[in-house]
Amino acid sequence: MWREVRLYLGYLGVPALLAAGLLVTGFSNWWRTPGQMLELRARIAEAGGWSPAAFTAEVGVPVTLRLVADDMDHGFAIGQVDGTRTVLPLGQAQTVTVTFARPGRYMFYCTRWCSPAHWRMRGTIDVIDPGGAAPEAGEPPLYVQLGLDLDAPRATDQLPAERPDAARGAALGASLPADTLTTAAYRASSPAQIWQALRRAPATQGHSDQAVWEAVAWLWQQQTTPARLAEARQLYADNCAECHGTTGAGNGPQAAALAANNHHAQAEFGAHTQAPTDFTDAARLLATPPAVLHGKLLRGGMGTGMPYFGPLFTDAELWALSDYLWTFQFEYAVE
Amino acid sequence: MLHRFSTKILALGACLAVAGTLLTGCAPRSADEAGEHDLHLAALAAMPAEVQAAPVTVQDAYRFAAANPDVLEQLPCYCGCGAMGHTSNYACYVGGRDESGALQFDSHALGCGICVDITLDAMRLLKEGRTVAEIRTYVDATYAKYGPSNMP
Repeated sequence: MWREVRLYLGYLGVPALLAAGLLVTGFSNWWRTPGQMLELRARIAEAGGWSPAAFTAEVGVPVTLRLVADDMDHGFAIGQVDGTRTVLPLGQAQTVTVTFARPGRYMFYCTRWCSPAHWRMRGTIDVIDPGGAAPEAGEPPLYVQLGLDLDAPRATDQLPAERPDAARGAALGASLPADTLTTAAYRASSPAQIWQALRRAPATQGHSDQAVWEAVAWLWQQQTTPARLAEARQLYADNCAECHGTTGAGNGPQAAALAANNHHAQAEFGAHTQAPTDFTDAARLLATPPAVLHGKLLRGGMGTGMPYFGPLFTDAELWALSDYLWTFQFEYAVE
Repeated sequence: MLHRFSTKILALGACLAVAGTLLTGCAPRSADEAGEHDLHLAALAAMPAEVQAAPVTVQDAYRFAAANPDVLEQLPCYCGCGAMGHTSNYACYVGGRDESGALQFDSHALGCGICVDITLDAMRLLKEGRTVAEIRTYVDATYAKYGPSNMP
């Protein structure tokens, strides 16, 4: 019998293998493209989140994900990877194909505020390069390099009389030396620190305190562009407004639960929850260096329920979002 | 005749099995498929009420922490909690024991993304058979870009 099996494997095996491959591939290609394939199912974090919540992929090998929302409408994106964002209407399968160019740990996440614990609805992709080196750790974030304490209370009593308007500060700002505020100095310094330095400078003598504040607003605005601000406004609306509010006043739909720190909030956000930061609070924001805002976005709130966006956004997106937060203090031109 | 037919079926089955194995080998591995090593988790009923009401991943992280101090005490946290006295990822979940020896849970991780993600990584990598030293290397490489370690 085994002789016959070997015989049949000889003249039947190769065609059978081909036929089986064609059958399976042909059957599956109505929703797949060649490469790796995986089905991800989405439920709110309270009910388990993504399933599976982690998978591995290889550099350069396309992965096709079949995405299905099981309990309500969700959204999907892979952090820092363009072209992966899609909506997931309940029960309607969507597909996303992605090819990773670099090894490392990536996160996929829900892009729609689907429940109080939406921010926990994330999953992990370990992308390996079988022939390459392990991913490098990268350097510490800027706030660590600068020795800034993200969680220290900040306040200044040097406040403008009214909301500074960058356009009104253009003339004085543009008259200052070109290196008055480098990008490095902007990121490391609070507006109050720069205002104090300018207030002492000979170039601002004869100008009012408010005029110097408006020059600060103009200098701050030079660190971004209307187009970047417009992009960041959308990021803010999608990821921040639920807690911090569309006006930045810390009064989004989730704010009351966070501020109350009740049992519900403890389960969803943690026992150290606090009212979301009010970005319109001049005493606090004007004492805050941009590197602190960038660091909070990157690292999260350290137990306060503020998610960490480091794996989700590129560094350029983090800075764009950080720069956008100043529109709650200064009058900027936004597209 | 019957013998020949069954031989054909056997051969065809072998071929399909090989084809199936080859095709399955092309798929990305989910964590569940990769996991070969069972993890020991504390009972959910032994967790504080707010943990029992938390998202499933957070419940799992607390249950793992309670049952595996030997693992999480060797792993750092990068959320910034070193400033509040935490000396490992374990401290984000358990503050100590009371006079009766019962665990005193810390609610910090309930509101922390990095703390829980580090623990979930440790659980996933343990299931894959990685050593704690290898997991420490992975955690350092993954999280150092977000903040300072709370371990030397």
